[in-house]
Amino acid sequence: MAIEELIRIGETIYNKYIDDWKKEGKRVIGYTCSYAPEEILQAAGLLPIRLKAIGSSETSKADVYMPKFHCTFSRHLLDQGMSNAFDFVDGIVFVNSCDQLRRMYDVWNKLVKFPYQTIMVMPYSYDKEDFEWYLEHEVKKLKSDLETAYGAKITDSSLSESINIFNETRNLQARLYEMRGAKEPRINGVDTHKIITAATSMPKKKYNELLKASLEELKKRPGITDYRARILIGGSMIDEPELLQVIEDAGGLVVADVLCTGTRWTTDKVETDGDPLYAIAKRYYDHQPCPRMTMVYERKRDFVLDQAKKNQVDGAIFSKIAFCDHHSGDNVLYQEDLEKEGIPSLLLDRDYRITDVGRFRTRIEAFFEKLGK
Amino acid sequence: MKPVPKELEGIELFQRYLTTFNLINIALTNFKTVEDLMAAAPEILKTLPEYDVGVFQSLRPDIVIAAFHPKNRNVVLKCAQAQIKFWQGIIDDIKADKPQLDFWFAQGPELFRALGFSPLCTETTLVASAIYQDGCEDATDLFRSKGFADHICTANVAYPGYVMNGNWKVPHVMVKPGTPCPSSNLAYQAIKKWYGNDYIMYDSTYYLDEKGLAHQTDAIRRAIAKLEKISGQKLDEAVLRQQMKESNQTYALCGELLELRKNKPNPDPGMHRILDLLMMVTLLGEPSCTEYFQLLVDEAKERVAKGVGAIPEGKKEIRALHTWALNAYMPDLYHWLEETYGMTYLTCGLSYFVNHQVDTSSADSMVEGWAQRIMNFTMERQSMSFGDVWVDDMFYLAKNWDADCGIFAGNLSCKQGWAMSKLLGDRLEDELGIPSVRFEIELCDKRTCPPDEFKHRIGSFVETILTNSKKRV
Amino acid sequence: MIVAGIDVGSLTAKALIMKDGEIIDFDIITVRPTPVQSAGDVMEKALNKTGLKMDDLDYCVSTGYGREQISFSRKSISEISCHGMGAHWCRPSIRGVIDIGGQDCKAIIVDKDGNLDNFAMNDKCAAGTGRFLEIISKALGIDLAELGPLTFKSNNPLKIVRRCSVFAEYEVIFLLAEGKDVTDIGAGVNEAMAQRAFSLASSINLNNKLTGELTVTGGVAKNVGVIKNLEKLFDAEIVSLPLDPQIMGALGAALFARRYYEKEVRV
Repeated sequence: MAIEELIRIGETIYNKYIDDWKKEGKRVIGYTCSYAPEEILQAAGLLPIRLKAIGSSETSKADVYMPKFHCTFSRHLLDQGMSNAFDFVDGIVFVNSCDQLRRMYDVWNKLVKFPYQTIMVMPYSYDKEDFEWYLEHEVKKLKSDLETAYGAKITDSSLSESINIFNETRNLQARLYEMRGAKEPRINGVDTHKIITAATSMPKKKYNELLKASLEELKKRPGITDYRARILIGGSMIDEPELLQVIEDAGGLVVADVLCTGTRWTTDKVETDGDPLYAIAKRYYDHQPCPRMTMVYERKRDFVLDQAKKNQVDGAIFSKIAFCDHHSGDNVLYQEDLEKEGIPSLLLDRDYRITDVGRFRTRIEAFFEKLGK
Repeated sequence: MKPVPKELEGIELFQRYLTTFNLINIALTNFKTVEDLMAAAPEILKTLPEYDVGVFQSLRPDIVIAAFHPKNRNVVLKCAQAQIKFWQGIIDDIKADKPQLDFWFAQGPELFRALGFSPLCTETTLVASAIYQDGCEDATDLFRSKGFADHICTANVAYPGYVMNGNWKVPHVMVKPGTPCPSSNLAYQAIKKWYGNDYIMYDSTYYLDEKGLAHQTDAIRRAIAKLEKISGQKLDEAVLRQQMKESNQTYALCGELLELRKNKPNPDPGMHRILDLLMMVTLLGEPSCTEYFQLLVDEAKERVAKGVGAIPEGKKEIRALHTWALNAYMPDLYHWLEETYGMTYLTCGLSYFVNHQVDTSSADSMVEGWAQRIMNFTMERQSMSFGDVWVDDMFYLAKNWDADCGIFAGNLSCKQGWAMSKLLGDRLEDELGIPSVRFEIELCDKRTCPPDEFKHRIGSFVETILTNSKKRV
Repeated sequence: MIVAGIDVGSLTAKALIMKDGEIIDFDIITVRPTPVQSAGDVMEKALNKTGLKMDDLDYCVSTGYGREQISFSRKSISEISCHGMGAHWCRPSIRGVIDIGGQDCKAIIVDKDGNLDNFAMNDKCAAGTGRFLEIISKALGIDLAELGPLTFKSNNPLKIVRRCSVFAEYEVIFLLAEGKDVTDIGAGVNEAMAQRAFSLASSINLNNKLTGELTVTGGVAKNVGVIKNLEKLFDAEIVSLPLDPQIMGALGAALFARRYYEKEVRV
């Protein structure tokens, strides 16, 4: 079944699809943040894979360099890098997402060497001139650097082809989300998350085929009705859906999210008319923002409120990876604004990996009980 | 947090600073030693208003004692006298409802004055942390009580706490560059959400080259246009020129002072570094700022001529390079280190001002010069960009100022700074044979480590380097 | 109607049996290797004394860490709700509960019917839990039970400012090395502990929106010094409960059992 296949792939960092790709003599490129313009990487003939620290259980190698109050995602990623877990990639594109990830790159650059690794700089403000600067100095530079590093030629037609494939991915994912958010969802939050994550671990073309088939399979499934509460999740990025698992084990159903590794990646598509490179840059610059973009709080809030209402949630659970400043800043404000709409929220602090499930379960169940569910 | 009395609504913190600097002025003008002051204190306190007595009693005794030391007192007095005028000016401007602009520290206030604002740096909360026994932890806790994490930089979260409690008036506009840092960005975001004031963020460059300067200048030009709309006043070229000419003089003196610290023993007392920063963010562009640095330079030159330093005569000097985070935590620590161990303060990531002279021939050249200063402002330069910049700068300072050790009292919440400390420490050790130590504290929250315990810990480190130095000559 | 509540915690397991709204027995045992064993043993012990058998129970609700694994319980409810419900039943005027156990600290607000209104629970860190007091009393070289009364013996409680329990231990060792008095340090530790619980409670406005009485449950409730300091911070009396505070979770679970029995079983 296609669904099972995608769920399985969503739990991997390396899998047979990547293996097949490499066997054809083609290259793989890693990236660390949803602000990395994947379409350009693909147009260079590379397979873009989002680097995840799936299965990482400790950070002792990274801890020598990074303080213990540095975000655990960065530390797990660096640790995995130092442990050769990403040796299957031929290069990496980092982004100055936040202070913790950009400094992780600075340390990485000294300790882990790939033939090509770079950091892309995303501005913090939204003037059109900032965008022009980004297009000119970051996006065009990425394109020419990739061409030099990999001897590839990135053409308008390869970009357009890449855009079409990615837009299709986003369209299909939007349909999956619709099913998850239905009155009687055909799929739970954990499986949805894994299917969405699978898109970052395999060639998109193949992914699209499997997702299309999965959607057909889902149509035949009965809806889920025996749940206690409809939940929206938000906050720091999630790779392994351990938190969603705790929520759903406690009887809740995750029907919506505002994650960068979820709905925020899927929502905005690339314009198909006009210059393709410009369109890609525009999409990444303007897409539903990360909390790092503090100038546009209202836009971020409206998105959260829209998702909550559209999916008729009973409550929201915002988690942040320990020591993440940006999400700490936003989660509190979202809680205030959702409360005004009569939607209670629970704020949780977690590591990149959740190990003490019991403590999370207690709070999540108490939250459902507070909701009267 | 204590409620603010009605008559001090919006200005309580500024009134407290004003009173503090007034008291320092009275104390240092009228008394030779701290013992004289304490003997006369009971009588003087009877004559002072209740509020002033409260402020006097809230001062940290160690900082008062350090301020009275002959090597420190003239500079402290100079700073206090300038600060009296500054804080009186802020209070007057607020009462007159002059457009108020709060800014993140790594920007000179000159440009904002030329735009018709009364500029106020939000990190002046450092003063409360440095001077008062209770610091600014109450304001920090008030902000955190909303649910914000306790790992957000304490130099940035006392500000929203004071605003929430009414000790600090909500400004008309807040201005900052994009990086750094997450902490200040999210604090400003919360204030804007709650109080609906303007918030202008201009992008900061990641590149310290010509192209980076062009981008930085362009971003600031756009910010200026937005600010003009808010203040209703065009950029006044004459005011800007007068301000930049003045700050050119200040920067020249900063450069001279930095060079003077190469002398052995270092002639410049370390406790003044917090005052340098305070003067730069409050009064840069004004003659009082230049006069302050002129006094520092004069005193340092005088010591060099006499062959003495900021440490007791006859004591062997240990030259320390600091990263940041200690200035506001405990400024008197440097005095204590000088007196106890002969350890001097070369410079740090919060007082490293590179002399950059701005071309004042046109408005354009001045804005570009201001942009260049921002890119190179202390800490901004090292933290907005690649980690190498930070490591290279610190390495350069350690090498050329001949440091004996590095002290990284990393601010727990400043992740970007901390993340480089191991690489920097390794480089100092490998290439220069200089030992370094890392202390985990929080800049403006003494609850992360009580000062006495901190002294004990840093003292142990100094004693080890005194016995084990393997520095390569 | 006979109902039971069972609470399997990290250190002890408790069972409580109610008949027609009255408590007829309860028992506490130290935990066995698995929650299932603990639950079975403690329930058996409680039943034995009353002469009842498992089959006599109309409804059983479980709470605590092992709550989902207990086969004879028909529902599981979080200990947060159960603690609130139990304390409220003991004293119906209670609206606030602070529960400080070995590993957790919880602040709970209940409504007039004992239902959960809001709550806060500490994240992973041990600061502000019973574990913190254990670590510190060890560093001070005194028995945990001796710590509480120090608040009343000291005229000059020292400030323990570190929030992290590991660092607070260093701080205490440093104070001892400086020759400071154990009584004053201990009093400071009680104050610091109360301050932490107060901060947690403040995060849900328990400090300024308390509409009824406030009580403290969990092992730390036995520390009179912490209680005294909490009263000072909340500017309110901390009322004591007529029952062992440790049993509140099991009591709450039994009360939920009664409610579910009435709702689901008896028509």
